[in-house]
Amino acid sequence: MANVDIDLGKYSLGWSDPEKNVFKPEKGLNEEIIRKMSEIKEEPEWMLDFRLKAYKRFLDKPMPEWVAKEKLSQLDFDDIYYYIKPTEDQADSWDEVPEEIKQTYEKLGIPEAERTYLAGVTAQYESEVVYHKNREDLEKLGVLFCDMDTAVREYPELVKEYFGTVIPPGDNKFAALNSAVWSGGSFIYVPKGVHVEDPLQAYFRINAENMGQFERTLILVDEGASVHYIEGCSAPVYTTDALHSAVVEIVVKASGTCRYTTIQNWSNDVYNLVTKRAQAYGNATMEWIDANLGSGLTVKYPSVYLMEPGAHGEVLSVAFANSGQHQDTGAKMVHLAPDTTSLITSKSVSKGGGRGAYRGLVRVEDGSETAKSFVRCDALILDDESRSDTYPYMEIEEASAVIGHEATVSKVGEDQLFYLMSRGLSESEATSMIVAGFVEEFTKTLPMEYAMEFNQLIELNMIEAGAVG
Amino acid sequence: MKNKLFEKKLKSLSSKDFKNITAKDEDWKYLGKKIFELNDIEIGKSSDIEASKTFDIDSNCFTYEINSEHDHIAIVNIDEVKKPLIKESIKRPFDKFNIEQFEKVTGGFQLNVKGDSEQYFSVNFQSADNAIPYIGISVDKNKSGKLYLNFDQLVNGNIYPIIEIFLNDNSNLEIILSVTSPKGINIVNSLYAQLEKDSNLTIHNISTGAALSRSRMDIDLLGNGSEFSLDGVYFGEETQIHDNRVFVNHLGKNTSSNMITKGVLGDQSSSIFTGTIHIAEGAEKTESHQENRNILLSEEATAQSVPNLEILCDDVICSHGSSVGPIEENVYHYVMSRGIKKVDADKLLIKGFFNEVINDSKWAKVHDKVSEIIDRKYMNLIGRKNG
Repeated sequence: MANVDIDLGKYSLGWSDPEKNVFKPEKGLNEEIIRKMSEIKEEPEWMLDFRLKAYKRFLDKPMPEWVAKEKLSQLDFDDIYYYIKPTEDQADSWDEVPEEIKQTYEKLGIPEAERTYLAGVTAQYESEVVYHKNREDLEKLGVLFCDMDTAVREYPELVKEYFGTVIPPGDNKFAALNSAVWSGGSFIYVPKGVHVEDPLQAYFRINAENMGQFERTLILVDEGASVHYIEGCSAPVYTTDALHSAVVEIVVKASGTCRYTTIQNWSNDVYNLVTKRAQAYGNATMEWIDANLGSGLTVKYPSVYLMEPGAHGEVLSVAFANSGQHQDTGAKMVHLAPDTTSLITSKSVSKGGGRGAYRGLVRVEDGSETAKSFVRCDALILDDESRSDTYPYMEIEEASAVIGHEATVSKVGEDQLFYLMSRGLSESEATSMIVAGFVEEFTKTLPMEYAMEFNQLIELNMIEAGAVG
Repeated sequence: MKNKLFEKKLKSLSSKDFKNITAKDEDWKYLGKKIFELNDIEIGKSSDIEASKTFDIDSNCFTYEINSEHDHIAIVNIDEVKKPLIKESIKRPFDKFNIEQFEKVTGGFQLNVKGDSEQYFSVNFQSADNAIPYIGISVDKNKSGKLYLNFDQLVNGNIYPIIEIFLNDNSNLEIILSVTSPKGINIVNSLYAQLEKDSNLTIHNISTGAALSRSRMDIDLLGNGSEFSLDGVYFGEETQIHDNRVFVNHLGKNTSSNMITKGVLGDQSSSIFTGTIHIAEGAEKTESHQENRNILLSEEATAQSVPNLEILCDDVICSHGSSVGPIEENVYHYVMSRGIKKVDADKLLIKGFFNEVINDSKWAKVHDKVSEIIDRKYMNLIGRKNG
């Protein structure tokens, strides 16, 4: 599987979407649209089949009732463009971008060129240069890194073998929807024993599709290989999409390592309903690092299935729920083999009427001898209007497994505030410093430029009047 | 038989309007096939039980007549009770099972604590057939009482008690809820309590018997300064299921709750613990802690633990912890390096595990009994292991 030829020439074309104007977009979803979409993408028969079957599953599945029932019931599936957004829906000029978003860019000091892209005004192809350079390095290592649509065309064997195996379309309603209408996303294959030193970043691959509504990502880390992938960016992404529903599948083969970092900061009217799952084989390590700052409703529980002995899974999840936001995030660890270990750390901050929730599952199947798992959830509530929930599920069917869970919820300590304020900080400065300290475990896993931006963002979130994002 | 006391409640609610309970319902999850039995409770043929026949109510070995008063405790048969004990205006969660309990109540009594009593008042339940007894308990202002609800002698017939508790201002109630009956029967109870200002409810929960022993507690801390505490032990062997669900609603200010439940599971037994601490908006200065610890002694035993928090207020101190695992290696090492055999070490460590709960002076009344049951159950496990 490692001997896939790489045709670099195709990559430069992979970014644009020349057929864009051929398809006249319409709202709502039916089989016809899916067939058309598949045809335009020149997909093989099996992919069309996959999509159509998934569409049926999507129709059959009821809306989940156990989370954010009220918000989810307001979601109108018929009011969404499932493929290619009409141009009139995107902000045409910088002037149309809401003032608070512009201010945020200003405060974060984001370069002018990037601002317009982030605001969805233009697709910024200049950045391809950055990406291209990155890719040449990777090519020498035999690493495949391209968008998913290209991968279906270029590496059909690899894709067909793994696509939809980690998260089958019937997994949940939104995974089914994504399977039916997916478009864009990343495909990564890291060959045996290859260590990718620098993080791969979706951030630089500036193309409208990568920030799409229904992106589909598949990462394959072969034996003994390692990779760190970063998705999203900390600056708020302005979009008029109502629904973002991605699926991310990862397979980490024996002794491989994969770290997947997400910083999600969609604007506040977005439903962010994402399914992320990884399989870790013998002695492999899978880490999900997941920060959620934006969106109106986020439902996301990155999970690791520990398939073979010695596999290790980690989730570090940070959520900031501000006014009008509901962050329902967490993690799932499923232990299927002996000597598997997992660690979940969750930090949530609720403010201004926001609702932060940790919802997690640790499941240890019978026979997973001496499996160990530890879950730690900490929550900060910053005012009386906000809400913090913790729903940790533990299902243990193995006697020798050692499982622990600890959680605390509190407000910012008076003594900490007093200490900082007596040293000349204002109350809001002191509070944001404490909050930044609270999530430091997350921040320190980030590359420096991300970490700095993230900290600034926390600070912005803390300022009463100018809440953004 | 519909009881007059619940007429008002049942006017607006009927079990027919509720969906059948399934394994998907959060409150019934993990119970497996048992759920089918619970969807349509079958009451015994001789269900027109008179309270005095079904319940052997005794305190300090005396038998009391219903409708009598003793030790500052008044007991009234439910057929003669006019007013519901709890405030019906407070919204309380119901499901098909609860409502069916009220619809099919087979008898019961209301118990009113009018004066302070140091002694436990025991109620021994005996039943020859499936029954749904109602037990209403109220404590007057500034008074305190102790109650021992004993489900230890049920041999035939499942029992589905409804327990309602109302604590007036500054009152105190301590309850021992003991389920140690043989393993052939099911005991599924629904307990609901309302606590007024500065009142205090303590529940000691013993669950070592029955095929299925489930208790669901909904506690509403209505008044400022009210307190709830729960400590419990369970020990499963063979295919026993011990299911404990505790939902504590902090509604008043300055309220506190403290829960600790510990269990050991052997053979194919399983345990479920679901606890939810809900702190309402404006319930300032709340302090709440919840703990659930499980030891699995057998390959086939399972434990599910779901300690939830729902917090809508910032000025709170809240924590929960839960764990599932075998006895720790280093602890074994410590004990065995002092010349104690593995079997004895196990026994000692299990005792020590439970002692955190049962060594409390409040457990004095049942300490010896529980201690003996733990020993016996452990010996049973060893006996079966060695064939």
